[in-house]
This record gives sequence, structure tokens and C-alpha cells, in this order.
Amino acid sequence: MKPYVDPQWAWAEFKPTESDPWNEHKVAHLFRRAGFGITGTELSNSIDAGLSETVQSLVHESGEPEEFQRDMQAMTRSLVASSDPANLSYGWLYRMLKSTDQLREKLTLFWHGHFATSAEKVADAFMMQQQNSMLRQHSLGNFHDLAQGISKDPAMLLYLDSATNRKTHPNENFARELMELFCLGEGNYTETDIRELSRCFTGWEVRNRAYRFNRYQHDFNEKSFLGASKAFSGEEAVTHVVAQKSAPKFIARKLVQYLVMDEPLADDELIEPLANQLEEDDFEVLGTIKRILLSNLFFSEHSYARKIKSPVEMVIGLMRSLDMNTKLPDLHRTLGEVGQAVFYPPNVKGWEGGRIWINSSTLLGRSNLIHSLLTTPNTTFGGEDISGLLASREVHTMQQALDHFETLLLAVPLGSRVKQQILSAQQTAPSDDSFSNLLHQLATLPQFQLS
Amino acid sequence: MFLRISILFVTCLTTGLVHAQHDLDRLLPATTAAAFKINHAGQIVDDILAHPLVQAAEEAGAYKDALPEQQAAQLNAIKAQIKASIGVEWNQAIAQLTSKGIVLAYDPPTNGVSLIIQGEEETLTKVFDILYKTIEPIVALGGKSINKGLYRDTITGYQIDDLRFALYEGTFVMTNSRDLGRFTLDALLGEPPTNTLADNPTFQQATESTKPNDHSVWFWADSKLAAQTGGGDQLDESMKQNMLAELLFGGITNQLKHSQYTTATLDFNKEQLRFAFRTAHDQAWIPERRHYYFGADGKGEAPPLLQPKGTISSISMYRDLAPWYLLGPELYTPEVNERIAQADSQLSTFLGGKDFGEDILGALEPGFQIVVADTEFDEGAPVPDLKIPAFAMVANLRDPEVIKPELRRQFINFVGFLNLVSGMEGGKQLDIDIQSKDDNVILTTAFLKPQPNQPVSIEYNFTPTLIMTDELFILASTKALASNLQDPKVAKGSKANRSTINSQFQLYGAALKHILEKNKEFLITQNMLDKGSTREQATDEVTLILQATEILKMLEIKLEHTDSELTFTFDMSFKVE
Repeated sequence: MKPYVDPQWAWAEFKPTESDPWNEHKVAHLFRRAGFGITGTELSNSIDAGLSETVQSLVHESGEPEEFQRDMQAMTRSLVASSDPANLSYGWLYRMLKSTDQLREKLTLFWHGHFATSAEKVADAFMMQQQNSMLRQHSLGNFHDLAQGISKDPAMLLYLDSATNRKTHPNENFARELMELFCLGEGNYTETDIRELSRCFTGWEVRNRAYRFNRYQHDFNEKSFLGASKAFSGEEAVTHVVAQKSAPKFIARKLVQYLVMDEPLADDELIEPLANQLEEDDFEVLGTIKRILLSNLFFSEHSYARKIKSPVEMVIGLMRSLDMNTKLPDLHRTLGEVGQAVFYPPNVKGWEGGRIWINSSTLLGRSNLIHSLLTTPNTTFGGEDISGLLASREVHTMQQALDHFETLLLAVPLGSRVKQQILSAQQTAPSDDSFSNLLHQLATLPQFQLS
Repeated sequence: MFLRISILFVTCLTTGLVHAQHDLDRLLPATTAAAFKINHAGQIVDDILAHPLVQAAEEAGAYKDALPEQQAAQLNAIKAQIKASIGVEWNQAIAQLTSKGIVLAYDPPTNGVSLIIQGEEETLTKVFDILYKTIEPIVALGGKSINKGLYRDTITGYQIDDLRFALYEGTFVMTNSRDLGRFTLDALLGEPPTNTLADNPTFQQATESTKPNDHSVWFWADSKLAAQTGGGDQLDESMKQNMLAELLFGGITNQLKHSQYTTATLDFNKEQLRFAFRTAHDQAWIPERRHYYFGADGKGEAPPLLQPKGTISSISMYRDLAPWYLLGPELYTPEVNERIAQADSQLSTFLGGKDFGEDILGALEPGFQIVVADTEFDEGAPVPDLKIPAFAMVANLRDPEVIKPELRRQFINFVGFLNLVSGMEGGKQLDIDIQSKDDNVILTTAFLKPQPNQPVSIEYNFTPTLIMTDELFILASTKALASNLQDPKVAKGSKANRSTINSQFQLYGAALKHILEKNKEFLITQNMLDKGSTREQATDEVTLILQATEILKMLEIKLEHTDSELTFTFDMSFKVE
């Protein structure tokens, strides 16, 4: 049975106290959810800065330096030139690792899963990159703009079969997903709504990798759906869908699920305040996200370790925390093996997440992934070996290493008995191998899978 | 530093050094089946260390991880000890240790491998002592000891398990065989035995062909060894499993099976690295199924090498492609033949019922060339970010009047097929331009220009073109390369001294660097993704690689034959300032 949580308390701003202070545990929690793990520098800076300023910097001033953006543009051009969409994945993993705008990248990944489009079907690097750039641009912006953008996005139009969306034979795929998966959720529309809505998008085509409106194939007649009747254009139809009462609740619930807990106490009462804010903000999502990240609920037992790391979160988080670099094409391949190759979501529902991430096969796959990451000669730690990196952080013994990894990587502290067991299994002198073994052993623990 | 240590390690431990109070060939038995000699090891090490490529690699830190830290430290300690004991740097010590040569040999009757090093006695003794003291505790750690004994009351011999070694008057011997070791020690001590390697007729034949002392490294093997170990059969088997390997090396493996000997030489200096492999050759050994490789009369000659503007590399080979393709059952395994049959069936459908082997490959005279050159773009043509070199196949037509219209039709069909497939996937379309005059045919294609604001994708590197003028057949990935190859001055090629050349490949460092330079942005990106480096780090590393490429002047690989010998050479020349 779900415990009751008072919505007013839940979304009120968390105020650190002496008994419940702003500490390393909370900083690491914030950076794991609002980004991909935490670096040593971010940890110490954020402790000094305090909660409010840290969230402020994540939300408002975390833009990437111009030089980095130029580098990423050059890299993107080069990757698109290769014509292979798989190459884009390597570029995105690089950006997740290196970007200072962690919240934007984290939300871009969220919207990528929300508006899932697979390069497997689209098979065009340029269109996939255009979509990715659009998602990044709007990731912390206005949901209505995002919905309008994705409706005309060439990759999405191809993915959901716009090529067959003709006036005489409307294709219902996009209309169905717009309501079910993108804006409203199941139970908030009827089959008739789908049929009528699909007529609004007839004639929305892709030509030369760009959106084109084919007026000869568009149905200009009146359509009736979601309680309104008129000669809706596609754009007006999207606006009408987003304006439904269920839309802000649907989006707010998904944000809570992504940032706070996999299996939320997400009854309507708890979500209501966020949905109201989203509506009041005219679907600007940033305010809602900030409220979530500052909330009592976010810094409570209802949130700590209540999410299972996705493979990307797990690996990029580990890599950022230990300043790791590796061969990203290999990493993309192994991430695919454990179920999350970016640009290649499994279906239009995206990655379901939560408990779905973990089963006996993926657990073994995750362990193997970490092992291969730690043992491949392509991996470096701050440009050196792991003992060199740890020495630079004043970590010299196995006990110190375990404590260091625990702070950076685990959502819940390990019990002293577990720690003792781990250390007794590592009775070798500190060395690259023993530190790697320790880290690998830690990565196989259930606690490591939790965010 | 690490590189220097690695070279010392490799030079000392994998080869050995020799000295010539006694001719090395007379220290080994006549039954020896393979010998590997190094002359002037000190000079080789000096040349390697001074080589601009090595220095570029040192600057790039590319060798840093070559040795594990612990081993590097051990080698450093040995190096310091050597310097303290002998008073010279380690590379000079190598020169002294190996001044008379090194030989590594294999003797099948004893199944023995022997390493003999001859150098300056004093230096060799000092280094021996240092190494002995280093090794002794390591052996003890393994619960073993080094056994000592006096051979014929004169030479102290040492033994660890089956490994035996001794040092006598500037000659160091190490072997795994008691009998082989005794043979060498007896030769060192007493009257020269009569049945030595120097008396082996096959060895004599090989040394007449290539003088061992004229080369930095010299290798010889008696072909009986290949027969005993099954090496020849294995090589032949691997040819049967791979059509491309058969095309490139089938003729060489064929001759190896019959030849009495094989020699290999390696010569190295700052300006050149040259590897040559020689074996006996006889036209009578060539079976009919491999006439495609040497010609029915054994005088097949590679066409003149073509060097159009911007040439990066050229390949020229004497091969009759139709029999190479059609003699499947005689040349390849059943599995390969099955794949050929499948491909043949699909090609036949695609070619409107024509047979690929008989009608297409059969239309070409024996001998073809492949040319790779820098891509040129017409003014105003879309230029892709990623620039792929142009490439072309050039051959002569057997029966131009008959075959030209057929090939013309096939090319048009091919373009139509590409457009159909591409159109089904919403891809780009090729436009075709046909010019025919006096039986000469020029068919050029180009992708339609992209819309404004659309990326110029990789496909814009290609403007597939077919040119058939008189007997000349050119199939190129770009119109520019095809046109350049058609130029009479280029089409003539270099004709000098070609009568012995069967196959030839050339790669030009400057042109390679030029095309890499054009794709520098792509290389930087790949480096960032492969190593997670910053743009600045990646740029530095790629720049160093490009500089290293510039040092390469030319790489040439050649297969030549006379009436009695087949020679395969690998020749790299470097720019030295």
C-alpha cells in the first residue's frame, strides 16, 4: 500500500537543518538525478555553494562554454557527414560525459525517450541529428513548442509513417501516439478522437529531409475530436491536444517519474500542484523542474534510491565520477547489449525504465559491461591509471577507495558488514588491479544499480 | 626512453649476436633447416633510434604503454648496470656485443633451436656476468637452480631445465638441445667438422643468390622444413578459402611448394627499409589452373603503372580475371564455390542474363590496374565534408567492337538499378550523360544537387564514370579521375624494365598526407570519440600522425620473376632532412 504523502509538504522547498543538513549525500543525489553523476569538483563546490545556489546553477547558468559548443558543432558536422546514424550516438555519449550543462543533457535524454524515434527505421544521420538538436534546444523550454516541433520533425514523421498519411487514407500512428504517449496518456481519448485527429495531419510529408505541407493531400474539412469541432490544421490540432486538462498532469507525472521515483506515489493529488504550475507557466517546464529539484520530496526517503539507473546513467555516471575516458564506439555497442543504445530506442514507447531495466540477463550484462570498461586498455582515469587518479585525490588504501566510491557512486550507504566483506575479498595491496576489482565488485552490488 | 629499452629488449632477446673467429655457418650442422642472421646490430639500433619516424613516435608518446612499468624498470636497471660495468651507453654496448653477428637456427633432427652471438670478448663476458647475476635469483625464486659443468675440460656450460648456454672466447651459445649445443662447442674447440651448414648444397645455392653478409638481416629456410611442418599445404589451403588471397598470392604459394629454398633479407637505414623474399621459380611448376597468375607461357607482365594527377596509390597486376573466377572448383573449397555460385546467380540476374565471369571479366585482356587518387570536384559542384579518394579500374578490352555496346548497356542498367533502389528508400538519384563518337563511349553520372541548407552527404564523392576508347576500359568512381586516366600521356604509363614484373603496388606518402589533411576534421572527431580527449589534445595527436605520414616518401611492393627465381619485395623510402 502506498504511504500517503502530503502534496503541500512534498513540493515545498527543502530547507536543510542541523539534523538534516546539506551534505555530500544530498549533493550526489541531486547530481545523479539532474545530470549524469557527480565529479569530485562538483561535489566540493556544491557543498560550499549550498542547495539553492547549486540548483540555480544547474537550472539557469549551466550553459556550455562557447568553445565547447563550437567543438560539438564541428564534431556533429563530421559525424553527420559519415552518413551513419550510429556515429551520432558516440557524439552524444561524448557530450553527456563532457558537457557542463548536465541538466539539459539529462532532459534531452528524457525527451528522446518520450518522443522515441529510432535510427533503425529512420536510417538517416542528418534527420536524427536535427531531431536531437531540436530536443536539446527545447529540453528545458516550452512543452507546447516541443510538441509542435516534434509533429513536424522529419525523423518522427518517417518513424510514424507519415509517408502513408493521405487525405483518402489517413494513417493513425502519429495521432494515436501524440495523445497516448506524448501528451495525454491512456484513457484520455477515444478511437474516434484518433481517427479525427489523424485527418489533421494528412499531407504532412517529408521531402528532401525536411517537413513539407502537401496541400493536395491535406484534409481541409471539419474534424471533431476531444470535444471540439472545426477545420483544424495540424498545428491547431496539436495546440488543442496540449490544451487538454490531462496534458499537464501527464507531463508532470512523467517528470516526477524521471527525476524523483520510478514507481511514484503519483496519484492525482500529489501531482496536482506540479500540473497546476505547468499550466500556469504556459507549459514552460523549467519552473516545474526547478521546483521538483528543490522539493522536500526530492530530498526524502521517497526519492533516495527509488530509481534504478538506466545503463546510460550507470555508465556515464561512473565515468564522470572517476574522470574516465574510453573508446565510445565500443561503449555504445555494449550499452546496446544491456538495452539502451541512444538513438535506437526499442519502440515508440521508448525505454520503459524502472524495474524493467533489471533481470538476470541484464544484471549479468551490466556487470560484464563495467568489467570490460575497467579492463580495456582504451580506458583511462584522468589520463592515467586508476591508482594515479585516486592518488591525486588523496586516496591510497583500499578502505579509502571504498569510501570514495561509496560517496560518489552509491545512492544508499553500505552497511559496515558489507564493507568488511568487500574489503576482505580484496586482500591485495593497493594497485591498479585491486582498485579495479574493488570497483567492479561494488558495481555488481544491487545498491550500485540504484540512483 | 621506453622505445629504446624495447629495442634493446627485442634485439637482445629475440635475435642474438655473432662474432667471426669461426664462420657461423660452420658452427651449425648441415641438417639445419632454417637460419636467421643479423649483421651490424649496433648500426641497426643506431639507425632505428635516429629515424625520423621513431622520433615522431617518441614525441607522440605512442610507445609509452609498450612495456609494463615493472618490466621497464627492470630493463632500466640492467641498462644502468651495463653502463656502469662497460662504461658505454647501451646502444654502443650492443654494437660491441654483436660486432661479429647473430644467428638463430633450427635443426629438425635434434628439434633444437640455437642462438649464437659473437662479439668483443671482453664486453660479452661482462654483460654475461651481469645477466647471470640478474637471472640467478629469479631462477631461484622459481625453486630451481642454474647447473654448471665443464665441457671437455675447457668450456663452462650452464643449464636451467632444458635450456643450455655457454660463453667461450667471444662466442655465446644458447640452445634447447644437448646434441646441437655439443656440435657448436666441438666446432669452437677443435678441428672444423665437415658436415656443417656451410656444406649444405641448398644453403650454398641460397647464399649464392643473396649474400648473407650484405644485408642487415638475412633469413634462409630449406623447403623440406615447410614440407615437414606442413606449412606449404597450410598456405595452399588458405588460398583455397579466400578468392582475394588466391588472386594476390596464389602464384607465390604455388612456387613455394616446389622450391628447394627460401631466403628473406631485410635492409634498413635512415632512408629506406627494404624487405625481400626470394624463392626458386620454374615455369614447369605452374599448373594450368594458375596460368591466370603467370600467363600460359609464364611471361605474364603487369601493365605499365598509371600515375594520374593526385595519385595516392596504384596497383598493377598481370592476372587473367575470367579464369580466376571461372576455375572455381579447381581453385577453391566447395564452400567458397557455393558462395561464388550464389553471387554469380544474382549478378547474372542483374546483368540481364549475361555471365559475369564469361561475358564481363572475359571481355578484359589479362592484366589490370587499380588507381586511387585525390578527389577533385568541379567548380560549383557540392563538396562533402568527408572526402573519399577516387578510385578506378583500368584494363584493355579483348574485342572492343563487340563488347563496347554490351558494356555500355550494362552500365546504363547499373545506374538505373541504383536509382531504383535509392528511389525506393527515398535516396538520391544519379543523372547520366552519354557521349558516343567513333565507337568511343563516355558515360558519366552525377548525383542531383542537394537542396539549399541540406548537408552535402558522403555520396557526393562519387560520379561513377565509364570510358571506353579504342581498347582502353576505365571504370572510375569519379568523372575527374576517369578523364585524367584517359589522357594519352597518363594512359601510356611507365614502361621501363617491366618485363619481369608480375605485380606492383605503390603508395605515395605526400598524396596520402594530403587526403588525410583534407579529412583532418573527421580524424580529430574520431580521436575525440576513441580516446575521450579534448579537441585540443585530439588536434595535437592528429597533427603528429600527419607529420609522421609526411616522412613516408613511397611504399612499393613488387613481385618479379626471372627464369629461375621469384622475388617479392617490400620497399619503404623515407624523406630525410
